[in-house]
Amino acid sequence: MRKSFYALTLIVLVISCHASKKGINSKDTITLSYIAEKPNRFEGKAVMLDVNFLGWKYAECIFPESFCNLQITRSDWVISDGKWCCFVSGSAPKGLDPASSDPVPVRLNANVKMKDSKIYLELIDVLVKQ
Amino acid sequence: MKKPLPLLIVLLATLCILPAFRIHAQAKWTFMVYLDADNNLESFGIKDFNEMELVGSSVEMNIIVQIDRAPGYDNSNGNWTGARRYVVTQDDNTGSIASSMVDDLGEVNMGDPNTLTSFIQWAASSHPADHYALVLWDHGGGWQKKKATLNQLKFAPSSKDAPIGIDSRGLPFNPVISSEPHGITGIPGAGKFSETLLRLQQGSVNAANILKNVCSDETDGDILYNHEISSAIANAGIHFDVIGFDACLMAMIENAYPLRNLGDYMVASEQTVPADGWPYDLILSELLFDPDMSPEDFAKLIVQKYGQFYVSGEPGTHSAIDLSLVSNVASKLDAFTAAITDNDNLWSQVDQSRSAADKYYIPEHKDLWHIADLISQLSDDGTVDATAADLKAAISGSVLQNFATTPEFANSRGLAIYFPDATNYNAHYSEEENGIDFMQENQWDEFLTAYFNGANGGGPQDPDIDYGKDVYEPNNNLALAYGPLKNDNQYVGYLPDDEDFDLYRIEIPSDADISVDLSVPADFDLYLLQPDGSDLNVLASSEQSGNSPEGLEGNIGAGVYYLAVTPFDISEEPYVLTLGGVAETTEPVLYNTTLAYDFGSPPFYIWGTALGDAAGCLYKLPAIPATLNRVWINFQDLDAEGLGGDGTFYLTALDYYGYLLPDTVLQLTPPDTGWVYVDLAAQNISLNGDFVVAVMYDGFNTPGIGYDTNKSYGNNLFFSSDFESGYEEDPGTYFIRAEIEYYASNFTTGSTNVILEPSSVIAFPNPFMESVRLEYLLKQPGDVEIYITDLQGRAVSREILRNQPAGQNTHQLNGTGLSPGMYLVTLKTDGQFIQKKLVRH
Repeated sequence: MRKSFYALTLIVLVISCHASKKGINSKDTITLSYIAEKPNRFEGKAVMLDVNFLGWKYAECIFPESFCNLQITRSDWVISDGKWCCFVSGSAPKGLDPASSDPVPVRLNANVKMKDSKIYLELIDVLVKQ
Repeated sequence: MKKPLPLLIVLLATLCILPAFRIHAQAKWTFMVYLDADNNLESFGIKDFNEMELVGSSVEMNIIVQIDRAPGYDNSNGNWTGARRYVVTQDDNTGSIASSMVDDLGEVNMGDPNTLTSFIQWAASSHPADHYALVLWDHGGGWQKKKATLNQLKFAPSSKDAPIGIDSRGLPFNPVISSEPHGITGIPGAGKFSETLLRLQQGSVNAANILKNVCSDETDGDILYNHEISSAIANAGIHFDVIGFDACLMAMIENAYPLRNLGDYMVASEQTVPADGWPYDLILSELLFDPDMSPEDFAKLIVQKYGQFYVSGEPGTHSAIDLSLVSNVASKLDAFTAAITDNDNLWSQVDQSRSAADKYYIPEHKDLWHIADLISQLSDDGTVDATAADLKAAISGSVLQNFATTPEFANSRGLAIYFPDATNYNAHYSEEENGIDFMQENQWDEFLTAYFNGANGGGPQDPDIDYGKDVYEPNNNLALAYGPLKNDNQYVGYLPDDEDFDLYRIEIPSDADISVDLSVPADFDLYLLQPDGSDLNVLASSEQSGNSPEGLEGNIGAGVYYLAVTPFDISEEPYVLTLGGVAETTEPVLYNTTLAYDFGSPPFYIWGTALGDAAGCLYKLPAIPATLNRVWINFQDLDAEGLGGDGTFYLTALDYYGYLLPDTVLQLTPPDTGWVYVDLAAQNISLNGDFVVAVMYDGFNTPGIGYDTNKSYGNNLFFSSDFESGYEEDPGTYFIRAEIEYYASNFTTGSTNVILEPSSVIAFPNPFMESVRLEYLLKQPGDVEIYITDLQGRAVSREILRNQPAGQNTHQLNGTGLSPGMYLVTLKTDGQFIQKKLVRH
């Protein structure tokens, strides 16, 4: 009886959590835009992003305010989700030249980190999708 | 009385302009900075210029800069975008360039060696000095593999678990699968399995020829390659006391060796350089006050100041190298590698050492001293040990000053070398036309070849290698085996990589005489495999040598079989597989396939902070109609009861957006270890692409449930009374697998017939308000039909885009007429369709 009650409660809670955007995070929680809205929520957590790899060529990029625009090393590279851009600190995708690459779709796993009160992405791994 | 006046004027004028002349007189030092900011580092270039201005030139020290800027990155200082030459003068403004420009060159290509030569010649002739220092300022790059590179690698022999009777070449995977459900073990790269999943629709990777370089000029699309650096300096005719690289990844023997006769000391970094680069004000102020400083001391000073500035910053390295001793390092390295090759039994130790050595941003760059040290520790060969000691001593002698943060680079001694595994080797590294004399005059590249081939035939086994990857097709595991194959169809595939192999599925409805023909461009082999419970037996094999075609024929009973095509040699040319004698299967054919694992680096982590939240994994699947039949779970080291819970969990499945799939909240009380599953077949849960499997705890006593990102694999489930502070209580691990049933008739995976690249289809933003942009990649031109349906399958809109070009395409969908909710958008071309879910807010 107790189990059934729990199960029913959980169903309700999960649904309500989703509706209130507090429960299970989903695709819409891992766009750069969403991270930019609530960067502190993601600090220390891993995220996956479907984005374009721009390498070191991002003259047209727009970076969110106080987020993603922190370049740690000269070799840091940039991703774009079509709206925002963001620096990623870590090795560039294998086989891609950050100096001369055209935009390439990648799937990025990264840790959201903070330095000097600014959020940036630290690479876990990256997959070239084309 | 009239004559003294002109003399006085001349005298006063001379005194007035004397300071300018004094700058141009023979100085002790001319410090040249070739500042290539024609790229994304523009603002950092201006910042460093201002650091130099904090010190400024003096009578005895000229600071000469050629700076090239880029459009689009930094709008300060007049936002000019060409190249200018400056004699840097002192000012305290750190935001603007106040030095007088000597020459406006307009746009120049800083990646052209002639530009560097011209700068050196001009700077030296206009500002002669007793000592010259040259700094190349910009990005530095390293070797990476050209993905299409061919080499002559061999497969490792089959493992000890290989079935008796298998050819000694064995298979690229162990066909004996454990009793674990559908075999997590026994598949090479199981620890990377989710990465394999991510490659479901992966094609080839950019085949750019990536070589060691510095000074990237974005405007001109050029870069200075290794041999161009040395040729530019040689052509300038100036011998430098110090050659510095304020750039990443340049402290490598391949970079130092060509400069050995062009300069006395080199300063560079094995690791990346922080964006701010060298602390020029700290460095040059020391030289300003002590212009009699020796070149050796100045080279060491640069490293010291760099270390002082960054000691508490990002992990990094820097070193000053005596270029006159680099030849000695190279000869000692030759002796060392010759000893290893002569021994012929140390390849596994070499492999271990290569993996364990300090590595950098490009992980194939390894610290040379550490390599020698590790190998000598593992070796019991006196010659190897002695030559390793000689090499280490030579490196220590040539590296005059070294800075390396710990613990990241605790064993970095200032000089790196390109030491890739076989998979990531860039074959252009040793090509003569690249002009890297280190490779031409020494034996390192020959040693690499020996290492790759493995003197014992074993080849390297590197934990860094992703053995599960398949560059060209996703069909090298049972779950993704292509098929079922049809009679007389020709299936074209590629085995360009030594770790690549292809699996095909055949279904035999009743006893049949079948034939399998395989035409090959290289020495490929063919195996017929039959599942037997949890094992996979080899029924027959064809292992001809060279380009001889492979073939199998015989009578087999009804059932499901697999064909494996494996490379003994590799080739970029296609093979053709043809099946004959099999009766047509009835469409649609359902076949079970275990597809989704989170064993490996999970592609996505979800977490929760509230009662009822769940932690789990997102599974990336092709947008193919399927059903979710079972979900398996294996808990390890979790003790929820210890936290006050009752040990009851709930397993659930959700769609891509986190919505619960119907009837998927299932209660279970798993054992402490081992696999259990929940049978979902009765629920008839439909999938069409990505989905989530998650675990919920009852949560009444443990409000947090989360994911630990510190572990390298597995889903690490945590229960914590204080989720936000860091999941500190009761860490454990769970592994989730999902068993999925696909409808074969809709299975479009294949290497040759995918026109619409599934992974390229992106809908953004999603959820959306008014419109959503679709991006998709067409492999060939054609019409694209786009239609939107609601979840009941009712058509909402339909468009046909005629004559869409091959390549990346975009299309804006207007969603203003849609009610808030979830929809499916379908892109269809030439019989292939891809679906994505859309959420209208």
